[in-house]
Amino acid sequence: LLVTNDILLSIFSKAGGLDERDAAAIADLPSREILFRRDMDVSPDIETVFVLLEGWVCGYKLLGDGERQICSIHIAGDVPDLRRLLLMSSDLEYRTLSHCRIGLVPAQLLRDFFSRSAAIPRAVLREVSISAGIAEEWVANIGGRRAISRVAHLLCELVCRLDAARGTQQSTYAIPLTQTDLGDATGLSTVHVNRVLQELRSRRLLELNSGQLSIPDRQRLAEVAGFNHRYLHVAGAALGWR
Amino acid sequence: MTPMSRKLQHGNVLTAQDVAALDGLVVNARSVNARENIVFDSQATRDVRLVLEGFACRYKMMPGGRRAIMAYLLPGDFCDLHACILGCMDHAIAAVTTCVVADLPQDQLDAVMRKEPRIARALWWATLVDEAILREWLANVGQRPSDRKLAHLICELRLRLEIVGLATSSYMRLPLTQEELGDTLGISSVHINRVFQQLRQANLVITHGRGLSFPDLMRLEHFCDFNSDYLHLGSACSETAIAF
Repeated sequence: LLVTNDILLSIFSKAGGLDERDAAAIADLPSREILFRRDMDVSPDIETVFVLLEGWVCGYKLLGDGERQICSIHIAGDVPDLRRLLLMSSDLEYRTLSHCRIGLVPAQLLRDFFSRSAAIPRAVLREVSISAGIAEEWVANIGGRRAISRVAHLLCELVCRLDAARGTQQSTYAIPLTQTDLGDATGLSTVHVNRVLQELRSRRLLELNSGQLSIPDRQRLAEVAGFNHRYLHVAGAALGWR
Repeated sequence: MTPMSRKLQHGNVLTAQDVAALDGLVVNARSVNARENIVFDSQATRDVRLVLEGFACRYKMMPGGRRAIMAYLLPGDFCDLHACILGCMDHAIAAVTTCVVADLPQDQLDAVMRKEPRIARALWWATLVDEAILREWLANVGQRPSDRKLAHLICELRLRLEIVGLATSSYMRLPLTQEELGDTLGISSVHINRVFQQLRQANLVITHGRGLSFPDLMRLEHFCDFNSDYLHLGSACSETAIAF
């Protein structure tokens, strides 16, 4: 079972330079947990940082005409909006894609570390840089790939991130995204996503049934997707991704 | 003052000494021809590179030979602040027009940031805004109809040029080809041509060669639902200021 303070500690340790006193202080930060159902807004005020302990969350933007673009998808162990430690306003909203368990920590207590440890801002910038790399790949995905490759690419990314988070490959993955969610993340209509999933299935590249995804041959799927895990900065190669 | 310092002043209040310290780090200014790479894919990055003049772009070659442009770098923009944090690049940066680029030695930059927290915060802001722009591009490329996509890109580039003193509310230079605009917005260059015609017919833009003028900028911004909040400009404004 994931614990809020452990996740914060591991993220803040990643960029190096966190001393023992600060590590102990992070482990002792007051945090609390809340449960969410699917399709609920996770919008703690700007003074709260949230940690995804269980479930799936997306970051999205609503456009003037009501269209929704999903700009990021988060899995257990992610801290989706760490940037709010540095920037006072957020241009993204967050919504649950499944039942979720979420940890909350007062942002100011984390900001208090900034003046005495460079390790914390460095870690925040590292996380922001990784999410920028993912967003960049998504821009290229929507602008430069055919529909079938777009959906395949998104699914490759999610599976690779799940593998990395769990440190192991699985034969099936619980993916709670609806076809509408997949369309909102890839700039495709729900009808189009449905057609693409059928084609992926008929070519035996993947099987997605009631939220259970299986990929018979990940190399073949990665080729169709043009997927290279390098932009994720995870140990993808160790998990069978080229 | 370099365009870098002009831009960073929107991220945090900087003193004259801060600006001098930052501008003093800029070395190795050199010209790069249009279409030449500034940073190669997988290149190990040591120093931060900076665009001083011209337009550059971040791009990836897609399977099938299509190029996807994921960002434009304008005067004052850093090429690889993210890569310096992560230690490697996973895409290339090329000059779109003839550019002048320069280096900021990483060790000296680190020293200035350690010594002066105001400078550190301004650079953090720049890193965060680069990421925010990408998310806005996702929404633009993913959801807007073509005419609004192009209009939105124009509005963003105009504002980013304006803050470094290179555009006004009625005029900007847009030195991008239809092919480059197509690779940015995920539409064909033929389609870009048609969309430009629509914008002209609606009197939203007037084109003269590589120049664009705007009879009514607010109408153009309203047309494409452009809201500049995601650029987090205006450090003096409390709700967008960096969190200190």
